[in-house]
Amino acid sequence: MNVDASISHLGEKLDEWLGKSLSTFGSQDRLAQGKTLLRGFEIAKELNRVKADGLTAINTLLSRPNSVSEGELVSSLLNGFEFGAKLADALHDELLDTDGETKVVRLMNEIASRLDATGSGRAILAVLLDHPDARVRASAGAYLLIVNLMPERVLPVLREIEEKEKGNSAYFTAHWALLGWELEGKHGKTT
Amino acid sequence: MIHHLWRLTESSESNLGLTITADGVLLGRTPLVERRDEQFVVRDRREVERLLRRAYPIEFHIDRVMHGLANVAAALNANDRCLAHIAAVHLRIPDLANQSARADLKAEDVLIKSMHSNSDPHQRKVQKASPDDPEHPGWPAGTEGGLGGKFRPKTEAEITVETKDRIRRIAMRRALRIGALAILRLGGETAANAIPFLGFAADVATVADLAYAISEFKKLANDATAAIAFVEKGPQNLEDLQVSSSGYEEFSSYDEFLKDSFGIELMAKRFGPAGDGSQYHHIVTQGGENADNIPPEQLQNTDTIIRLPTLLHEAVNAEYLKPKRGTGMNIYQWLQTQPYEVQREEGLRILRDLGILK
Repeated sequence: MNVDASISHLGEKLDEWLGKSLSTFGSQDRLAQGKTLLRGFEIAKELNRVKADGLTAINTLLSRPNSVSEGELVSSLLNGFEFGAKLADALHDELLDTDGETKVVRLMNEIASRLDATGSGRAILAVLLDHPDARVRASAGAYLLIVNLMPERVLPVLREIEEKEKGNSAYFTAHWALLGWELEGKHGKTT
Repeated sequence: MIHHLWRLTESSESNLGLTITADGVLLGRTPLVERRDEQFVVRDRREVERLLRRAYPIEFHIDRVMHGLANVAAALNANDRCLAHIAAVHLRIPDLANQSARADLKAEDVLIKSMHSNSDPHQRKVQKASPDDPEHPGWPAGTEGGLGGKFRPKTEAEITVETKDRIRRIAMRRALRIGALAILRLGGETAANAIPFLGFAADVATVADLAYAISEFKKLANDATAAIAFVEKGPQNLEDLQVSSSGYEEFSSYDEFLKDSFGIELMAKRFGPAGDGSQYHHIVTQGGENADNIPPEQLQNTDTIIRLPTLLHEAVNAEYLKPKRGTGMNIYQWLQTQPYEVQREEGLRILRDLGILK
């Protein structure tokens, strides 16, 4: 099972556990309360392990030696970016874990910087604008728009996400990217 | 002439070689043969090729490796572990160079599985509007004005369902935090050992920690009740959330707002006494750069301060703490670089998008 699906799955388990445990904590049964707590600890530990695996995967990718070919490097960075977008948004949407999300987004910033240093540059993120997952499309669009790259391609993608996805991470990522672009006066400029 | 002795390794936290476990055939901690629905299955050829390329500087004859892995899987499925071990040794896959190579291989595996999730049924696909899809509702075919098949705005009932779902997630997050803190204080083993002693003579600190965690969960239950009662009513008007219904009042500081007898009187009248699972929220954030750049009266007034259930307030705060992609800032910091009017408009938008405000 991939990491973001694991987070969703464990979120559901935690949800089920919470539903059962709240009534237990309202009771006077200390033994039942203690047992319930331990079950919750197990799920929490598993979630921490899954999150750590995800962060390690991106960190490992970023610390790989530069001896690989540029094509392989770019492909690997794109893979890491796509993974990071899904992981960051799963942490936010499933758990409201903004600390975990922030750690992942910092690594995505690093991936974008590494892409900037390659021949194709950050523009290669445009291949992710057709990704089936709105979380990945929104992040790819946001990282392109922040440096005013290909607004003619990015804007319709972000506007569509803003229209169709309400109140989730994909929506907010698209919305803040569009708002920043509008407020910071990038209209009419070209790269 | 040196003969290489091929072997399997024992499964452990640090093994570097090929090992057979109940979960399949692992190289380090990365599976080459996986257990799926009670059957052992060899991973996709391209995945195995990619993993081996990541793990070793040498080229493998992939046809030979795939054939060998298929033999191991077949033996495992026939419950013949002895044959499976012999077939695995015949794969002639050397140990990984070191722990770093082991971690690198696992990272590659995580990334491969992430790419696979594009075909995962759990994955959100490009969405189409449908009259039967509560997440992406559409107008039914034949709706006047050519609206059939297009997205329609969500109803208040649908928004209420989403908001309840969000509250559930916030409650989970707080439960996680409580759980994580308790683990840190107790340690897994101590926690497990503490349970049989509950209600009997036990280590005072341990019982105190558990009691604290339990009391926190009780508070969580109260907050969840307050939040659910709020969302049962559906999205609300701004006027219903503001603390004053009798005109605009402004204050020289947040402390003055809290101390002001007029405010207290209204609080008691509208929301009941403190401790009812609610908190104050500033539609334009009051700390950070705003504290220096915006006059306090513009921040501390009855137009800007609203009362929200604590759990919903946490959901709103989480949106402000969201990192703005491609910058080193979160939304809270970035919005504070914008004019007051933009901050207020966006503050209201967050409340609307979360289903709190009409």
